[in-house]
Amino acid sequence: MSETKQVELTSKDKVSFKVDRDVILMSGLVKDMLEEGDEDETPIIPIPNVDSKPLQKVIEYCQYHHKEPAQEIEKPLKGKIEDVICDWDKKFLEIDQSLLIELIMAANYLNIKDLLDLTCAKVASMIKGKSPEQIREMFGIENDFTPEEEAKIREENKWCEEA
Amino acid sequence: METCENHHKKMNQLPEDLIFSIFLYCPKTSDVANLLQLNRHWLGVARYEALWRMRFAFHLSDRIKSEEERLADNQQALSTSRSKGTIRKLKLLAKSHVDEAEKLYTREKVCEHGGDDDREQGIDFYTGFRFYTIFKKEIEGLRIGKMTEKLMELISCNYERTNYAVNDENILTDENPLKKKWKRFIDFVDSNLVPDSESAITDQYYMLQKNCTAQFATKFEADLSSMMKKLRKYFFKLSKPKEELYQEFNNAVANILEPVRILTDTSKYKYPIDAYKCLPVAVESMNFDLVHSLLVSIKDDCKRTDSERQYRDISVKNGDALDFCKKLMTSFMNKSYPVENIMYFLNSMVVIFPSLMHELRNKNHAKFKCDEDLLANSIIDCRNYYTGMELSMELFEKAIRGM
Repeated sequence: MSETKQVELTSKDKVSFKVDRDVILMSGLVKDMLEEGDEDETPIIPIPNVDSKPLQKVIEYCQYHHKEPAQEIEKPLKGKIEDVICDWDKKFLEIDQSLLIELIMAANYLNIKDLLDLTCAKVASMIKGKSPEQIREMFGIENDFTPEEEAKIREENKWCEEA
Repeated sequence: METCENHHKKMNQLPEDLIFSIFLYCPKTSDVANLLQLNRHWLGVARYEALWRMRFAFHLSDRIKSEEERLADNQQALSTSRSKGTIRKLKLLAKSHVDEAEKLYTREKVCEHGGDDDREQGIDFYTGFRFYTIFKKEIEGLRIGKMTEKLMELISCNYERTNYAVNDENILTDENPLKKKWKRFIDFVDSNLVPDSESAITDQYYMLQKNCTAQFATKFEADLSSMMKKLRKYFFKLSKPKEELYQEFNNAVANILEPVRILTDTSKYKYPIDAYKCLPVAVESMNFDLVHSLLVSIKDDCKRTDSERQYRDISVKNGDALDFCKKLMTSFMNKSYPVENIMYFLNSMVVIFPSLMHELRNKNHAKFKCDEDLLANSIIDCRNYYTGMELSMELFEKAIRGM
């Protein structure tokens, strides 16, 4: 029986993760890099844009979903995200906002479409029906508008309420 | 260890591609609008036409869904709509926007207009993008249509088909179905229309005065005419002294006419139902209480300066004013109104059209006993000229004064 080929990923904070090659091929970026390299070795792939914490979550996601492909999430969300994703994904998304944002960026960088969709949909679900003030507070977003500018944008976008 | 500051920095610097993806998942466009208000970085994504095309496609999908729900009980209509009707058109339109959005997004990213610094200097930059405006107009048009539809629905509904029949218990009270019907209309107007609101959707002038006046006049006249028959029938059954009956009848009529007084009231509404335009219908209805009520409203409005007048559609040209008087006078004569009613009408026209009266006095050197006679004579001359009829002052006097 042949040994499963592995890949070593090194995070921005220099933490290494050994992952099955089949698993990490879910990443478009890693797949492209592996195609360029020598298949006999255990390649070391630096992931300089992703810290170890989100990278570990990414690997966790790939380990589950490379065998259980994720169902496409319909755009826009019709209700709560929990209604359209599997139980494993629900548990997977039980993370703080900071890690969620890092995961979005990691999924984007590593080109894992399903994970990117899942995390973006999660953010959309979280902000549903919330005011800009509440969203800013939730994600620690800095408001760089003057009150007049903010009022103008609100007025300009009023029509969206009916769309 | 990750600091709070780093976390904030990440969210503030989330790349536009990712913000775009979040925008597409937002259940409602209003959620997108809230995200656009977060800060300049998030607002920046609004400049992508692809975003608005995608959101518009979602909006069309919702419309398809509601159209399917509306036709759910009629399988044939649903099938026709799906194969060649509204649903098919909406589906094709939605698809074309999705296709175009997919092509556009990449193109827009490549052909960026100006750098980030340019964009962040002003907050109006995104309004320059064509499809934001098109989408906005589409939604506003839809909302205007919905508002007009609701107003027309409230005006046009048949009070006799409501669940509450007119009976002896409610005919004289506010529970009278006619009064309830018009109360619903008034309540809707009060809750939704605003004078000078700067929004075509809620604008009292366009919605109430311009859109509803003609329909109101026709429908209220029909309601009144049917209710008057019921009222007469009710009073016919009562055995009370004649004078008491007369007083009660007048009170009942006044009660039924209350919606007209409210809706033409210039102290309640800045742009009320236009009493001028209701007047011909009111004269035709043979109800002088209604006519009187409208004439009082119009005379009150005439006391205001031109810029403050609340009935805005009346032409002030003397020729048109005389034509207006002529039409009404003809109705008064045809309907054989009592003399005092006709004289009150003439007197009101003298007050309402001072410029016309000034012109008539200058043109007519013959002496008339009063302005009412001068106006009546001018109406007759005008009518004879256009119709070739041989009406004369003598005949007129005979008709109205019983001479």
